[in-house]
Amino acid sequence: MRERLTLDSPIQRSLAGTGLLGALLAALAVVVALIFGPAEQQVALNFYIWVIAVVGFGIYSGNSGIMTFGHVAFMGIGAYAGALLTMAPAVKAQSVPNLIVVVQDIQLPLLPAILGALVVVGIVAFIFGFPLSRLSAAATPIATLAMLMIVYVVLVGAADITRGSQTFFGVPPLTDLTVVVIFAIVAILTARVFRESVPGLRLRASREDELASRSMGVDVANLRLLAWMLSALVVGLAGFLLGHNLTAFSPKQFYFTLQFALVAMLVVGGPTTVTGAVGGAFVVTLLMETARRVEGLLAGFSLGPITIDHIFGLQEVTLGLVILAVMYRRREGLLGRLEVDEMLVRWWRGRRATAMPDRTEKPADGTRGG
Amino acid sequence: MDLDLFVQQLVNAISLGGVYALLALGLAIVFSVMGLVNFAHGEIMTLAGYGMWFVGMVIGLTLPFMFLAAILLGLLAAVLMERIAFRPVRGSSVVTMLITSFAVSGILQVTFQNVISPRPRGIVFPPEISQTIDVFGVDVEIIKLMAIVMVLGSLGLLMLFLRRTTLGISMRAAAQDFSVARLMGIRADTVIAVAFAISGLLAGVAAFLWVAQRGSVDPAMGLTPVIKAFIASVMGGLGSLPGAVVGGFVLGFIEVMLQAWLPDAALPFKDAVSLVIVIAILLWRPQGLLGKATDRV
Repeated sequence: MRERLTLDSPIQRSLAGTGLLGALLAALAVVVALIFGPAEQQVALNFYIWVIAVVGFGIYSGNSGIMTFGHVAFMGIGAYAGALLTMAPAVKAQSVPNLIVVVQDIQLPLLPAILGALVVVGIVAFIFGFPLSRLSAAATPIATLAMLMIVYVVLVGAADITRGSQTFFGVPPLTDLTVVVIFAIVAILTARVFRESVPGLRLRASREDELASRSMGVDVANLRLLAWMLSALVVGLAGFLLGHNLTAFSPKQFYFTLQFALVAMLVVGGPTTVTGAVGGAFVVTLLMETARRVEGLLAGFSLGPITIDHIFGLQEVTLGLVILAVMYRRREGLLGRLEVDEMLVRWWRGRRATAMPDRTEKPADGTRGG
Repeated sequence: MDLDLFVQQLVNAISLGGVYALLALGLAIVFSVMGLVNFAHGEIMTLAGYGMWFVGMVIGLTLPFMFLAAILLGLLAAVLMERIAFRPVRGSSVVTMLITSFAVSGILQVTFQNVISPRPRGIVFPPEISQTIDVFGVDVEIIKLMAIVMVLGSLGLLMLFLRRTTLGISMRAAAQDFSVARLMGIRADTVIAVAFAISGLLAGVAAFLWVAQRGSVDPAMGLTPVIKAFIASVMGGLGSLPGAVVGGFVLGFIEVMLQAWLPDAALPFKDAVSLVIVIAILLWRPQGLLGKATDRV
């Protein structure tokens, strides 16, 4: 006799996992919208954007087991390309007067603009992804640094399109709490479906043992490219939303500081699961917000003869220490290697096993599934 | 005249590529022994730069002492970094160690900002080093000549060490296969500490040459050259020591030649173009110029 709650089908698992995480995120959004003020709502808005970015980042890094330092470049491209599509022609004439005429006259609503921006992100991702996916797993993270530098240099250099290192302004504020929650759920669903799909499973197999999976006929390079593309698109979406939340930004915002935060979010929660990505984004956002407030409180604080005029980068130090703590103590991340639905199934089976001890002669059987 | 210009560009390429080669070699030695891609290598370089600033500007000693400060501080920083930050993750996956070093790099940069200054610290060098002298009919800046001599000197000494001494030979054995080398009685702690010491020394020399060209030190100084050294070591073949040196010189050569021959309108994109060339090279040889082909099934 099979137990009813098995979630054997990958689609069931993806839907259950997305539903659980989505419900939590939506409930959080309702609470924030009803109770908290604009400052906290802004923090929450950023949190949902980080969720999209980190979940997207994890589609590649989590499933393939290859860390990258270039994903923030896709956020930058998504932000700039999206902004050029949604800004009113009159604003563009002021902000970027030397723009190409075709782009100058375009103004699209939210969804077509997202599609347009993602086409640009996809093209760039493919151009870099093709050579990158052929490199060894140790060389890829370094090559993604090259990608980040290239994109950064081009964003700064292409002053006619991006205003160079100056602030790019006049982006319409299209991002609000509803939009980000919906896209966060879309991102989670995308990531879960890919993770549970056959290509996702094969890619995860190559993460555990690349040689063994290749000997089983897994086409590692092309699977990495597939995950890379999907990952870039989701991260690019996060960049689009971030751009339309900030409304004014410069290439520097899509460089190492943000990448550092994304890496922290991914590894703190647990890089191998979507649940871990969401949890990591939550924990790290809370920590960063706390650090930001402490930094504000400490400025000008004096204790007897010692006066602190300004502390730099308390956020980065916090992130660094959190990453180190996780790497030293709990490498698989705070939430481990199980998705939220798998945790629940395991908990449910464990409960049934203790309720009916006569039917479970081998309790290990229940704990090994999932 | 044309040849003259070419020789001068060649000198530039060797002196710039030499710095990349020193950094890439340091990264490659550590990677080949313990599998760590050390992101915090740049901060070793920055610290060595601050050592130069302290000895030269605060105490007021001469150039040789600044050089000594750079290499000693580089060595000390690298060895301490291994003891404090990387020993807890020794033997774990490449990803774990990479992320750890990424965090160490971030923490150190912020520490420099708070303890020293977020703004650049200027270092005044004796004006003689930027004078030009005549070498076989070509005008060459003394600093460039110094760079070439130091780079070739460091590489030569390192080669002697790796080929002629017992410790050097055990380093090479460990670089080829760490666990088998240990079975042959080579002490893991010693080999790893020496690998970090060498990488720190090389980073110190690189810091000296880099700072001598720029005239200032700031908290993020090490980031750009080390990223380029990373890329150079991948281009040469990750984990291959000769590959790192070749990759460094090739990258320096590409950058200098682009600087000389790229049209003015394209100059802001110089770094992007050079990295695209590197990626194109990797597309042609994914294992790097001198790298071994990956395990085939």
